[in-house]
Amino acid sequence: MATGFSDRFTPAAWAAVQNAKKPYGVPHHTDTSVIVYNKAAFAAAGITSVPTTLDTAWTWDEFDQVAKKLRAALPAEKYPLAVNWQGNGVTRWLSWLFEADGRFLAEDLKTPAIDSAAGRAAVDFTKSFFTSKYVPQNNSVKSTTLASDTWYSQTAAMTFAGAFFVPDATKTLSFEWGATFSPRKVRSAGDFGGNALVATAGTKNPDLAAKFLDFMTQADSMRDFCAGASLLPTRRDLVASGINFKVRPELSPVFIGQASSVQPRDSGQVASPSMSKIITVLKDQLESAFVGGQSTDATIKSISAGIAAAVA
Amino acid sequence: MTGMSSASTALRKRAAYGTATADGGKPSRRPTRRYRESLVGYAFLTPTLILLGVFVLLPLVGAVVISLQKTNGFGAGTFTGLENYARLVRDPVFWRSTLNTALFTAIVTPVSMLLGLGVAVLLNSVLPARGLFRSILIVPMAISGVATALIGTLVFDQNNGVLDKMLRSLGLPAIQWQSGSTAAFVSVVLVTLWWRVGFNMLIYLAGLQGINPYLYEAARLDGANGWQQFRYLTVPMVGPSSFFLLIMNVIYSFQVFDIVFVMTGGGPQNATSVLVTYAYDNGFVTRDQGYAAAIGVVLLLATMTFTAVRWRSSRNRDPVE
Repeated sequence: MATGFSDRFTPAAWAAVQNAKKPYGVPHHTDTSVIVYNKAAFAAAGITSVPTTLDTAWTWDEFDQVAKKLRAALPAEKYPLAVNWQGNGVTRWLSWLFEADGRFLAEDLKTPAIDSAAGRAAVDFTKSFFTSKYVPQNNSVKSTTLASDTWYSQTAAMTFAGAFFVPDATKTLSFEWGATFSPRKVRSAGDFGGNALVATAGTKNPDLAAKFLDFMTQADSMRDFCAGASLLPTRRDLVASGINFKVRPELSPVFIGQASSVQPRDSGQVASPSMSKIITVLKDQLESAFVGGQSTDATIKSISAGIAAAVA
Repeated sequence: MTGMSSASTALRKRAAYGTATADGGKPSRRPTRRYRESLVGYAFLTPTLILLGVFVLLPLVGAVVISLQKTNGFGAGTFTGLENYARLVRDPVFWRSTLNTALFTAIVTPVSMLLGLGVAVLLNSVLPARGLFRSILIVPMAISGVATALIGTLVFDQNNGVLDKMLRSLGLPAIQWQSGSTAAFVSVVLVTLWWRVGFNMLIYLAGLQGINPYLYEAARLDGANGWQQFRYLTVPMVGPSSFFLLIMNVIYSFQVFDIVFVMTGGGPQNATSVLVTYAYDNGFVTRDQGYAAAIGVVLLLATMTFTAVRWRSSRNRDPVE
């Protein structure tokens, strides 16, 4: 690859394709979760406006107030929220940790760093969704009911969803819905989804492979792909200029704005080679915290011990 | 190809054998014929043996080898001896999964056999529209486990499921089928029964139709009432079916995966985690494939032990009238 090739990507996207400080591929596209909400349910609860810029996104306290209002307005079998942290989506819980400006791996990516005020705040806040009945009990991390299904069936007034889901929701849903930015605490954050394109090291034709990777990440190729597939670009210039989704183009700025809150120090941790083991630790411990009544302190200590064992 | 070549090898061997006995001057008709018969038998067996070898025995040996390694499935693993097995002994989730699997088997096997036999007896009688009932009960067999489990999730979803909606409309409290540990286990058992009773019924129905009606006539002449005929005639006479079903139900139950995976994913909090879902989680989520293979080997040993014990202790697997 030519020198300066990596400059075309956002620092967060480039950080996500590093292994042992060497790039192993090129970030082809990304995606991140924002809040999508049922307009009628919000109106019925007296929530008449939602944040329209990343800087004015609800703080955790404001988000809590919104959920409280919805809880009061909704019948017992409906809920304010469903969170998309099921299955391997448990990494989306980390957004709450990042919003509190916490980390789960220290900068060396080998030491657990979750035992912190930020870690406790994130567990406390997300645990409260269950105790305050903001989410249905089957919205835990090991549930087989996906948050989007809970929201589609209008059991929850809002959920978190990536841009990929816009075309399907538009086609499927009969109710009106909008999108706004994820809540923030110390800062905004988001989960870093997406895929990288890689060429094998032993390829017979490395020059051609490099050319292909270069072509696929040119501005035009990426803009067309992301607009059509409803995914987010990894190029700096496209993030700055924005793109227009083919379906619901007016929602593009919300998703791209949220993606800009992903910091390289966050995406770098999630790209850890031990992530598959850390995912299991997060799943087990958050499940115990959310539906098993495990205390925040015990949860943080167990996640920390689990991460230490996973990266060892 | 391999089948054919081994058959021709067999023919050459037979020719050589025939010559040798002829030279000995002894009457050789019987052994030669028996030998030829067994060779033909082996020739017929060869394709199956090859398939079994390639798709069952080879992966089995592979699993044992992997279970002695620490590997994520990419590249070569490191041999760690019995370390994975030592970890199993200390792992509470493994024991929970073992217990759940045993409990699941202990409930599902007798209940599905009892229901299967009951329904088979009913549908073997002069019940009106029995063809229709038989078809309805057998239909679940034709549906994949995943599809069955997806239907299960529509029924047991605790927010929007049919069952809880019915309970609420009757003014009864809704059951937390997904977030309640016992309720989740019960939901998995119920869906499995719905899926499996048809299979049990089918095998029993075949067994029932093989019973000579004169036996019932003789029993009636001896003054046996309906229950006595069922208890002392039907039950022992379907012994071979019961033996087959017991083995199959236990093996199916030990191997339960799709229904649990789709309906509960082993949750809430491992309340429905069984050995195969736990092996899957380890193999494909945590990517600790050596450990997952060790769980698989334990499962294999348990299944084989059960089958061997049952085989040796069964008196009525091949009864004669």
